[in-house]
Amino acid sequence: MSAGERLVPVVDRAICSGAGMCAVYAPGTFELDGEARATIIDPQGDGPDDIAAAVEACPTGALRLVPVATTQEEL
Amino acid sequence: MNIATDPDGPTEAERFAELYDVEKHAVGNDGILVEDPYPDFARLREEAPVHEGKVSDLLGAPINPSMRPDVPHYSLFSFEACNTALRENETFSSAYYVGQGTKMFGRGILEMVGDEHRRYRALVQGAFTPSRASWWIDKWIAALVDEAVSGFEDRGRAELNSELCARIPIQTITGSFGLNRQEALDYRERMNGGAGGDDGGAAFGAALLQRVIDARRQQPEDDVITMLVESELDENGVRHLLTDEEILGFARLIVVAGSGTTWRQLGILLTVLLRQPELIDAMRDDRTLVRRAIEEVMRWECTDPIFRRLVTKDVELCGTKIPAGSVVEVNLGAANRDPERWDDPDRFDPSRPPKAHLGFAGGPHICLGMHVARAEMQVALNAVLDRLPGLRFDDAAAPTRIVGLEHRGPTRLDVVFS
Repeated sequence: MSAGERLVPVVDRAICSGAGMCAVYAPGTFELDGEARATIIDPQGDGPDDIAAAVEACPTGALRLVPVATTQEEL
Repeated sequence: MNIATDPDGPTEAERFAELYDVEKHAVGNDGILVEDPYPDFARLREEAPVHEGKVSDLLGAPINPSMRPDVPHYSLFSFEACNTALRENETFSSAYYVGQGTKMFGRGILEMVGDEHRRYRALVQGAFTPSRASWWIDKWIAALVDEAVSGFEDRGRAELNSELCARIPIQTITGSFGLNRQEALDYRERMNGGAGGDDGGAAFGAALLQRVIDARRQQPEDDVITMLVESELDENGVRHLLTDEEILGFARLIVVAGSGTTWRQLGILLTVLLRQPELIDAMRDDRTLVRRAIEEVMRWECTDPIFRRLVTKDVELCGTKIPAGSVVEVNLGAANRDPERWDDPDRFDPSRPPKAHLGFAGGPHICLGMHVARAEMQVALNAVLDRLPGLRFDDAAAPTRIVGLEHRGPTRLDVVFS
């Protein structure tokens, strides 16, 4: 990750099984929707360490952290 | 709670004490009463992440009669080895449970793999998400905890294993499946192999639950069987309702798992807190520690530390070659104290930074009921903190020991409070 970027979580809904580990470690960021699939309610809803713990904890590997530019211009 | 029973028969309290005897259960299932296997786990993990042989053999414990004596066994001790085996479910297959699991529960998610497992588990996952925890608490857990604590809070002393820990999980799960309390204990007795339950209560549970399935097909209610009755399975684009047999496969597995695990886990949680009373004091003032203590106890000492998988192809795991057809024993207890992943891993410390553990296992088969278990422990612990001031071990009673190998838990929890 270079300067001017930050990591945000993304969910692969095709892989998500709805186990809900993400919502244990980062409940401000992830929630399970009506189909029992993880959705992101706020990409910065928890501290970076908690979000990283949630991504690592996903039992089916449905979560990733991807770098995005921090300013609108860079997007 | 009064229920119709034989007036000469045992009381409900006596039945709980009898059916939820950790020591007897451990002896019956394991043949062994290991008190602290963790020093041996540490030694073995230091030697190698993967060992040939069963965990019980490696501990030098009296032999746990193997379900598959004819095949080679390997035991996994590091976090990496255990996590890999649980995640790579096609190679380290849950088909291990075909046969023995089928006999107790019927064909179900425990023994399924890959896409089939995914489709079937999705049918019930919605009832067990973190967002559903409030349904479980409001509809079942809060009232059950209140009732259990009310039963002894004026007495100044209690045996928390049978008077609290044993009651909450079985009454929560059987209530949510439409069974009454006496039926729940009758079923439990057969799961333990009593009352002619040679099949682990499979036939008895099927008869009880079939009655509920029939009733819910006529008249839906706000419970788990109704959800299963209304579920549709998508098979290659063709949707069909679950058959009674499929519903029984889910229901028996969930009732058995839900009534026999959190009981001991809550006991372990209370035991470790009673051994460090300063944590109880800190927790009374800062309830955010309750959730952290629950995650930490799952890491520090999970009640069912050993799960098995069948190896479907020749594979190398953490440097050890394992031939197809072998059984691996995934030692969650050893993995959860791997010093590569946690500093000072033998210390119970709720202030650790949160990090995924394998206390509820992992991979696609991670415990379905884990958020209900968390909710049960959370409500029970909060009630203990609120309503039992000055809680401590009863010095007049024998010291509480955590025992067992495959099903660990405290022997008794004799406590006093002011």
